[in-house]
Amino acid sequence: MTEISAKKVKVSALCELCHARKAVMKRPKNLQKLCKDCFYKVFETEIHNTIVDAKLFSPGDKVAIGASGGKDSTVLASVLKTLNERYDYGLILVLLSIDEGIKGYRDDSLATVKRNQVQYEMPLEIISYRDLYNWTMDEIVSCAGIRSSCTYCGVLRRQALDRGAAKLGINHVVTGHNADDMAETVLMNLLRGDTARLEKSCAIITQSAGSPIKRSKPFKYTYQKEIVLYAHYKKLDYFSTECTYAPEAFRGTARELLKSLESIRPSCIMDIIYSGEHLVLAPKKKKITTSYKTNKKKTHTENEVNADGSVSLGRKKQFEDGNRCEKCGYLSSNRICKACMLLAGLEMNRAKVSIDNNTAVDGAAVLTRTLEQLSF
Amino acid sequence: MGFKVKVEFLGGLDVISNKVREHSLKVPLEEGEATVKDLIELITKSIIADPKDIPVFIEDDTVRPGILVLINDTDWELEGMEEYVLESGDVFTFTSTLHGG
Amino acid sequence: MSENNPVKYLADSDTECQRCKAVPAVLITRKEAFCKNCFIRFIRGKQRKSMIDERYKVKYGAVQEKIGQQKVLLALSGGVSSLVLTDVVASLLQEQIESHKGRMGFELVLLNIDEFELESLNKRIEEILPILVERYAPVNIQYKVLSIESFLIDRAMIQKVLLNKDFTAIAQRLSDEQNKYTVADMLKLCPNKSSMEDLLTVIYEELILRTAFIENCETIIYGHSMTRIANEILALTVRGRGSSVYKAIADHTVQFMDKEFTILFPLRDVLFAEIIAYADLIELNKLEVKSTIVKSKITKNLTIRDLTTNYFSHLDATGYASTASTVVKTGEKLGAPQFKHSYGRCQICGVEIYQDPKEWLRRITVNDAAPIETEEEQEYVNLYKEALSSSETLDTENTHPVNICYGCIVTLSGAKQDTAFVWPLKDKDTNHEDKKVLDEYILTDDEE
Repeated sequence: MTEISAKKVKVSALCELCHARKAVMKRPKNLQKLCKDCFYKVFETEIHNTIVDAKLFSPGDKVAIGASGGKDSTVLASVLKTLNERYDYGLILVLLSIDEGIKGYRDDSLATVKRNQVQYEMPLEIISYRDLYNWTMDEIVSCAGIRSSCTYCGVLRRQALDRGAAKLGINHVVTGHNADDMAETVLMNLLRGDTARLEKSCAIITQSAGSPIKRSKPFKYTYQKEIVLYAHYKKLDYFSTECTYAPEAFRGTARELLKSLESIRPSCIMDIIYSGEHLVLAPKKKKITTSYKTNKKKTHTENEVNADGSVSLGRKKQFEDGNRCEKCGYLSSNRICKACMLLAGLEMNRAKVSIDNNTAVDGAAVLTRTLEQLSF
Repeated sequence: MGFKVKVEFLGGLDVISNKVREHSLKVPLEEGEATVKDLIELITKSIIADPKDIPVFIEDDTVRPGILVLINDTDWELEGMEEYVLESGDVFTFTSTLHGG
Repeated sequence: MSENNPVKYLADSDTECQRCKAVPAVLITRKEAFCKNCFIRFIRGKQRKSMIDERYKVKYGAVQEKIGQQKVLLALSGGVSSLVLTDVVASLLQEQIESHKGRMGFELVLLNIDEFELESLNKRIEEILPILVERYAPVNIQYKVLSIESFLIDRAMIQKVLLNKDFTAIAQRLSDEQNKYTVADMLKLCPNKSSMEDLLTVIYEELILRTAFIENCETIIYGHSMTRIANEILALTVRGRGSSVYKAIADHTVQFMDKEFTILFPLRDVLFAEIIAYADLIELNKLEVKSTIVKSKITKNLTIRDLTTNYFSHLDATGYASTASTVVKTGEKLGAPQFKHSYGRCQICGVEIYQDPKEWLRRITVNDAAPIETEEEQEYVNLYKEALSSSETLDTENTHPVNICYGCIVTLSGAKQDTAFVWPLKDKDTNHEDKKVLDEYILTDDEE
């Protein structure tokens, strides 16, 4: 694809790689000025290299793309389709979407995913919170408040993606997390003192205990800016509205800091990721940690989930592989899975809400269903 | 006097302009006089619906970090950023990179 | 800010000091009301806890012989934190003199690196040093002021450094007539303010270690508050120097010129707001040396450390004040990165390299052009080649590769090809200056 411009391009305005076409963008990674064609080439090749270096896929793998309809996952679907064909990965790609039940946000983005399904000729599976948990996010927020919405949604979405993948017989979910997200996570883990996650914050493949599904992030080294530019130049169809339940305030401060830092030194996203790969806990202190403390550590990961203190279900057994949640029967490292623990806490709150104020916060449906639950 | 340029708000940034993504904007200056700096001021005055939304668009008197600016589809960093001199028919695209992944 | 200041001042209140329960409290910090004396004792206690080792106590007989006379070097910028640390440590020495008939557990040496020009300071450190040490008579405190120029001890080490597109660095020795650089000149060649800030840290650390070596100080102490340490952790992470976090902020030992030095941060548990309160209470604040440079409000004009500093003060003001303490605790739990290979040491800043930064960067940065497809495109390539051959290309003869760490690659990137970047390069394996050279430095440097 070449654009013949009427005006002569100055030599200084040419692409720094091909010197043949007009530069249209400046890479934040190395401040290189590139034309569209060279930009596509380096953008796609870098993702290919990341995939190959981390050995993310094997031929014949069935891979689910966690598709939200947003820019990251839309570009991910497009690029994976391109790379799969170009380099013969031999992958079977499927779009997997979660319907959290957020009016005015998820409805529209799901429509985008449905168009993507046609555009990229990939099968689409939609898993809804409503079907899975008998709760929508709108109901959860009206019950638990907006503050902890991201906590709930994060846990529930994780499991929903897992279950969706399992339903499709897939054991690998790729997500659109990009370099900016990674850098933000490194900062957040430092700022919140989340040492358990700090070491893993830059891992490209993660797998939670008890889950047969692995997750990976092919965009680990890909800048948000370049993803947006790629989507723009390639005229990809994506949906862009912030979730109605805006991110937690503290995370917002870290994001602002990162954006300011990026404006004075664009490479800082990569610099933070490089740093993050070097942040490890001191081995000495690990040795001191007794088995009691190891237990405690595991407890910690779970407590973290219900930071609002709404849930505290008994003590848990040591994790054994292949454990199943006693409530929902899904694979879990504990007696009760995280999602069920959160939901149990919600059920208690739901009861309280309906007693405290007789008018339901979000329409009659919530109240009716609350009462249904209570009658059991 | 004055000339017209096109202004687009993408990536969810249309929230600052009553969800209108494309605007035809009349620049009340001579062609060759106005720069992106003037354009930014003009946008805050005539397009942003609610003054409370100005900080969503502006920081330190320029476009806020995290908003990608394209001038005729070229990264504004290659076009002199705020100093770029507006021409009639130019297309300015402002895309938020922050919104949902 | 005042509303959320972690230290709340009490003006003639009825609140009683919760420690001595005898006099009215003057301030509340950490949810406790303190009178002036109890607050001062509280802060001093933090330092005493961190320097509880036998080495810093008054020793007699066999112990004294075994441990020997200890010397402690205090890095004094003249800012409020280092003044408070001086007060805290000097008052400990005063007490030791009183209760041990004139004996002290250690000798104190103050080291200042002169920033008068660099930071446009409001007064010269020489104006305050005599007044400062006078306060603690009969304790004899030595002091030393070093020019930043003393960083250069051997001109032959200075080389021109260039970063290639593939992230390798090459260096070129300079001829005698080229080699006229001062440290100030070298800093001016930094591509931006943040790079200069990064390299200044390298210079200060090196000067402090060298002085400790020359002065036989086994311990080096810094006045960093908890807030400052948290800031340092964040700034190092942002600058791609995450592998140094574990040692840059925890009390640790450093090998330099075959000797071991203990580095301590005795005020690591003290909030910056508490340091200010302490300085106010004992009227140390009038000695404070400050920069007269007004920090810009525009993000683009700030450095990485400015931004992280602003971030923490913003958190204090918005009710996330405990973040600094969380960050410090997290930093303290970190250890040396675990990698199979070591790639030697950085010839610019001296850190150990764990993961080959060139390789890392190359893997994530593709430099292949898309094919040229039309005649018009080919014409442009030809035009470019013509323009290139007419302009001076850089003389890449007589260059040799340099081993540099990720942080220094970041700091160097953006350095202009024509002016390049100039720095005294160290040996890749030993990371030491020539001992002979340092001996010379001892002879020639006599600025006290």
